[in-house]
Amino acid sequence: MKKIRFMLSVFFLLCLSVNSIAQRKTLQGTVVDKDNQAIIGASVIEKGTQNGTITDADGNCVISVSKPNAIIQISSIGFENKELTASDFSGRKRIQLIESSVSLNEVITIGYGQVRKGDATGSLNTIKPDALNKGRQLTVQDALVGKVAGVNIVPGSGAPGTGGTIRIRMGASLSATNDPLIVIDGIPVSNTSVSSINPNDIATFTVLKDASATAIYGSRASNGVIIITTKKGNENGDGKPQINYSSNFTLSDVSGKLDALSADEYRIAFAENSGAPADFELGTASTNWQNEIYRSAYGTDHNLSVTGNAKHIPYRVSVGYTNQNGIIKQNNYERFNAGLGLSPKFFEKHLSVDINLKGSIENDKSISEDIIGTAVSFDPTRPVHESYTNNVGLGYFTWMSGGAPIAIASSNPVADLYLTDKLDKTMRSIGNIALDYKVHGLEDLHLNLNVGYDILRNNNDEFSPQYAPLMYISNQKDGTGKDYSYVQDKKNYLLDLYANYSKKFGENHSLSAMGGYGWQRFWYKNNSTTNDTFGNELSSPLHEEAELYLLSFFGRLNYSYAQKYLLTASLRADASSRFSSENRWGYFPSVAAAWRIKEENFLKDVDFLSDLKLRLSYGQTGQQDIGSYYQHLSTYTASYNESRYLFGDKWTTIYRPDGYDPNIKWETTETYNFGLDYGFLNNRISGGIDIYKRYTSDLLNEIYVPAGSNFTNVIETNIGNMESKGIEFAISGIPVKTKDWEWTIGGNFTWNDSKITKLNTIDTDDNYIKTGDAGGTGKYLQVHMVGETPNTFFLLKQAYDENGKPLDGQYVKEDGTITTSEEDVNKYVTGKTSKAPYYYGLSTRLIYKDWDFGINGHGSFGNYVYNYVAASESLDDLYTANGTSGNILKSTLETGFTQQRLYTDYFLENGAFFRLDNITLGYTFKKLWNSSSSLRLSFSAQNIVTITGYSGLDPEIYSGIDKNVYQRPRVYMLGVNLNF
Amino acid sequence: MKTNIIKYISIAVLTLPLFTSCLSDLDTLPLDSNQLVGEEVYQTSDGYRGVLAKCYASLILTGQEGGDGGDGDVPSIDEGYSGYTRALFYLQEASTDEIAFHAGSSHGSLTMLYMNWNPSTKLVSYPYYRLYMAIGYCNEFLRECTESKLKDRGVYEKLKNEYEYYRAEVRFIRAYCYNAICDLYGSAPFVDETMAIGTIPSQKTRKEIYDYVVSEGEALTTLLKEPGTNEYGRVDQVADWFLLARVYLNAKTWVNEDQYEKAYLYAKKVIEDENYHLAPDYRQIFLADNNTCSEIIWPLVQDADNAQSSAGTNFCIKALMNGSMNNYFFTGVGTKGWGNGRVKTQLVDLFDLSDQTFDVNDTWGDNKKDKRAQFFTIGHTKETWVTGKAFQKDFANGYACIKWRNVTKDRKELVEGGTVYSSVDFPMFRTADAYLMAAEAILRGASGTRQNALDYVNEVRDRAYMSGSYGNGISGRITDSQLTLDFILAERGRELYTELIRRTDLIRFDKYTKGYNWDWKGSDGAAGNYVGKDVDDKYKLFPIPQDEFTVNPYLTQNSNYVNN
Repeated sequence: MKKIRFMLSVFFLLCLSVNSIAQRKTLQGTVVDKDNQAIIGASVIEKGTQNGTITDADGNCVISVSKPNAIIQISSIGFENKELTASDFSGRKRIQLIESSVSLNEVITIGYGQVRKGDATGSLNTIKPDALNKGRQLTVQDALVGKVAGVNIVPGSGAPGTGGTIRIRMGASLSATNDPLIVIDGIPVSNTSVSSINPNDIATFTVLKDASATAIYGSRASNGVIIITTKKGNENGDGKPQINYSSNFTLSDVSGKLDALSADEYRIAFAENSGAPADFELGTASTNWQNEIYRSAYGTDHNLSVTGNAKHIPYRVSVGYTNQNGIIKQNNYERFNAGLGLSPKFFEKHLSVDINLKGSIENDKSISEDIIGTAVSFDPTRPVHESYTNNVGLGYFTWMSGGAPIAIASSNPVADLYLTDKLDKTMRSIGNIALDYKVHGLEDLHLNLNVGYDILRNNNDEFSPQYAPLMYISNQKDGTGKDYSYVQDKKNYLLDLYANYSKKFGENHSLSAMGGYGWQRFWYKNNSTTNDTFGNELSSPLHEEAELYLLSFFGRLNYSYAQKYLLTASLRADASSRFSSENRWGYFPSVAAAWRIKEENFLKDVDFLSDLKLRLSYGQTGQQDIGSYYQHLSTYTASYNESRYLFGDKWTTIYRPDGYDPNIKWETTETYNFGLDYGFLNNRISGGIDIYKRYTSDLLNEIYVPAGSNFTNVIETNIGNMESKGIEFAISGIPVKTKDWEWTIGGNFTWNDSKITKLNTIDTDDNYIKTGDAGGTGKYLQVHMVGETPNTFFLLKQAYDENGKPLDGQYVKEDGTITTSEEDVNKYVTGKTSKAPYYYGLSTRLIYKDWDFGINGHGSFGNYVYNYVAASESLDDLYTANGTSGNILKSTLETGFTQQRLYTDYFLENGAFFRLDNITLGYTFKKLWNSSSSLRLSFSAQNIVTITGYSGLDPEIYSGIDKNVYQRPRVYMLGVNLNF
Repeated sequence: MKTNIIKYISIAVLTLPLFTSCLSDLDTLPLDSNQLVGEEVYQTSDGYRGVLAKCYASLILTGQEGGDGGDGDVPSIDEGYSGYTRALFYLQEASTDEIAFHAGSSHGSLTMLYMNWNPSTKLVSYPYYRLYMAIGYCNEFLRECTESKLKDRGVYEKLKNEYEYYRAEVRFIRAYCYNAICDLYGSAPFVDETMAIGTIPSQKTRKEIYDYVVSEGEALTTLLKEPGTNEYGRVDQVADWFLLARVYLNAKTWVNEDQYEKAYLYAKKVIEDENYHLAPDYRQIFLADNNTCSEIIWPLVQDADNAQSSAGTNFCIKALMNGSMNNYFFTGVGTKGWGNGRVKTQLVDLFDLSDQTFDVNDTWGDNKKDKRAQFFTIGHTKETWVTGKAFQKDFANGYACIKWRNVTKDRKELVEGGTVYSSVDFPMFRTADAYLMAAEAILRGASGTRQNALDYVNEVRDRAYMSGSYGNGISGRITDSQLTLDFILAERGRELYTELIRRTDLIRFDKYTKGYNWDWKGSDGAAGNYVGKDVDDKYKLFPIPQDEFTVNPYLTQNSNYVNN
């Protein structure tokens, strides 16, 4: 060990740039730890200068300073920084650094409280967004990609502003949501809409994975919890505001186009394969429809924040503006953010108040994603523009037959882009006031009150003018224009009241207890109108309104002995108005123990080991997030005016009894978790391992209803069971740390697996539930099945000729014979799933003086992707019987499939990939005009390389079914970050 | 310290009401004005009429929003396909000698064409789930519409003269549904109003279901309103007679009972009732103003504004006609047709060659002998195949059926350019069918004379040719020597094509699986294989949908179908 240390320090010394400053005053010292062991490689710097050195293998260093009152800064990883005056330094031969165990003392926000990291018993990870090493981050999910073991984030599509899919430990549900609970400053929000949060306002993410950590969130915790804390004012500042301005400019570029036939290739393919009638004529144009819809896109982002302390009230004010064009023409996303945080303290700091207000406006000028597919399949011999009588098509090419537009045809994608205006506008505000009262005379007791709201208004408008090509194949199909407007209001309120008591007894016993009550109301209302462009109603306005209440009592007990043996127990009782009064209450207990082995005497003196903690936990959590708020109630739906019945001469409103399940209740998940946290070499190498096993019972699943027994034929009910297990491994290290150099590496790796153990009322080997909708009607590519991972592909086994070429429409049956029938009987369970069993993330950062350089990447393997883009095509698409022609991919010409072969495993491909998410190079001007001003310039490139064997554009698709999605662009970004 | 304790206690006491008031928050009721709990619905007589309307509407509409709105009744099925008459169309027409579908293969339309469906074929399950949904609505109405409940809810006074009729009509609809189940699936689950929601139904034999339909039908002959006395949209005793005639006529094939005498008796009652005489012009039965057509005994209501669906007659119009035909005549839906269903050659050949083709100068076929020959032929091949090629899914292969048109009998569009949805009411039961049933029952041994049978057939043919008492067209009458059972089957094809009865007829004449073959029957769709072949007799019944076997432990599959 000593030898390694020596080698390292020699290396460090070599790296050190020699300061050839004239001899002024030479100081000598030895840096040691509390046991008087030499600390090697500690950096010793004259404060405010570039002048410095590091300690050698014996902890010795020599530094020359210019003035006698110079301040010397000494720092080393794993120890707290120390500052001495030059005179103190010279006076002391031995300088003792105190072990910081900074990571252990770090305070982590958990549900209804905080915990020292060293005292945590559950599986939780805290992530501070890396200010330096990041690419473009439009939404908060982007900051988490590949960062946490056990957390799989599939970023949203390339359309700016779309959120990704977050799965913690693969998710515990089937039909109910698998999204984790997201808590922003103590307010649980719905995951689907975190895009309104400005990533620049986020201070930390805490990811809670095991039941010990999550059970305090009871009925919503089965899929894990992500706690987001936003940045706050600075309590310790000197009153002078600290201003940060950051900005970036991005150029996004198309990362690839699908290989469709060119106009000339198409003419040949058409003549050979279309079978079109002799009198059918192709066009004379040569249009590359993909080129017509794509572009290079610019974007910009500005953030300004002021942090400070006014009259002892710490504050933070921030504003942000993002404007990002999509790589598809007309697509633009714009967001305004404003945030205010105040954290005053009253009554001699007995009452802490924390006020957070956030507001945002998002304007998403989206495009219909159908355009992407149509741009591939639209006939390349047709022009973009064409004129017809009576304004039909408004100057754009439109499919016509006998002078009339064809009702079953595809619509000109360029016309759709330019003629259809879509605007999705969301205004949202989230705010809370949290009071923390340290009781006078009983200071160990804190009373907490948190009152919060999350209100939102969403306007979704779509306008297509009269005579637009799209209006002949959709809407009224006769050219009538469409003016659609949807308004949604959401108002969610929250009140939490809890008390926290912490006390140390004697030297070694410490106890804290928390108990409280929570109330939350969710309410929404939707209205939509569909009119023609002259304001005439095309159908009755639709409306919807519903509310949901959640009530909870919760408590938690922490006990630790000598900070060595830690015990946590929690219990939450939750009631949801979603369930009938008999099933309303659910109880979610958890218990966990941790043993900080490092603190034991037999390990105290083991130098290379700086931390070792064993964790064991068990807990139950629930899931209540099923679609309807009133599923347990017998209700009737009244009909809209378009669905009435005539009795005599009077149109009668129809009342329909709705399907319901009076017995519906929580899904329950039990999790066992074994964890180990470790640190070596003063925590220069640290990380953790978690192994878990999870059982979900009363799994909410959508199953068929015995015909005649209910007013629906499928119902979501508590029927299934599922078992999951996994191993998560995380490591981070700092191989090099010198005065000028710092190199950090981090990585994480996850294996997980889920098996369905019960699914249906009657489980047989042949029973399954279809899932994996490929779009269209009833086209399912996957099944849930007992003994299999959810979302296992269920397909036909392709038959091949002796040359390995797939035989068109021929499949191998289970008994080995060939069939041409595409019925389910001939399909087989492939054992391959879209769920990634293995995934990993890597990041590294290198800092040299004022330069920084970072790389992030992530990947997965063992998962499969169905290339629906290719599978949905066939030579049949060249000419359609209704008198239209269409393009195909080159690969389709090669397979030569004469009809759409949607269910063949030929199109099921290995989805393994590794993606280099971003590479960033930055330079920081440390002192601009005074010591507290700095400027960082950075350049980064995102989505540069994806290593994969997948033949489509991008294998990273959460559903595992590659339809024509909005591709993720390649992004180049120039960033500026100014602090003063 | 003491004051502190008092403070804590008082805080606790003050916050206690907060907790208890919050507990009552959990008893939520729907907020939306369209979502109601039962007690709200049944507080008024309109509520009862609204649920009665659902029992009727569930056989033609698909959900509560109209069109393809999205709030469909049968959530596992694409809403348009979930409509009863459309779902039935695939089973009763696409599996026969009448219609071939060039689209819809993901639902199983090709298995209908080739007659090789199996328990997981989607189209097989559509009528099944829709029928049990309708039965469920009927059972719910019968549970809620009782004298004591009406009294409890204070609506008895208002409904006392009507509610017994409501109950009878709902029982009639339910009996109709079980008749369809008996016809399509044979032995199947049974559920009535005595079974609580959630009860898993057990299976009844085909004979038990048949007996139930007959006993309900016989009981209802006196409970329904007198002929002609009910309001439009609701049924009276004649509909029940019609149902009984149909069930008895098929008793031999369904349960091996000879009930032709009863079939004749009830068919004759229908014919002799003065309220539902034959329409003066065959073509008027299928038009947008057919609510004024006397012949329709049980109309299922459709309306472009008030009763929209993508099933019903909207399907008959749009699936059978495509947009470009609107250049020749008014489809009534402008150019919105889909045009994916085409007529098989066997149906075309039921008519004289001279009546088969479309004349641009006579788009209504006024100059045809048989006015029922309603085909569009321009740009189409008569063949549903292309020589030397596999089934092409080409909309131009096969003539189009243009008997359903969303225009009025004065041949005008409802609005210029046509409406989006159809206003043609679907003629569920109509009198001409009763004429042919009566004639057939006689030929099969009922007590009427051959002359009676000949008169019934010739009445129908007079109307078709618009001769005799229907006009001065060329006579279409046949002679006694022409009157055979085979003729009856052909005549039923000419008269009732696309009216959802063809499969039942072919089975009754023992020509469905073997002995008579049509385009693509028994084929694999490969090149050249368009000539029909015999198929296994198991196809006389549809299998119980595969999904039922994942949830209902009491079921046994129809013989020779293998669950997968």
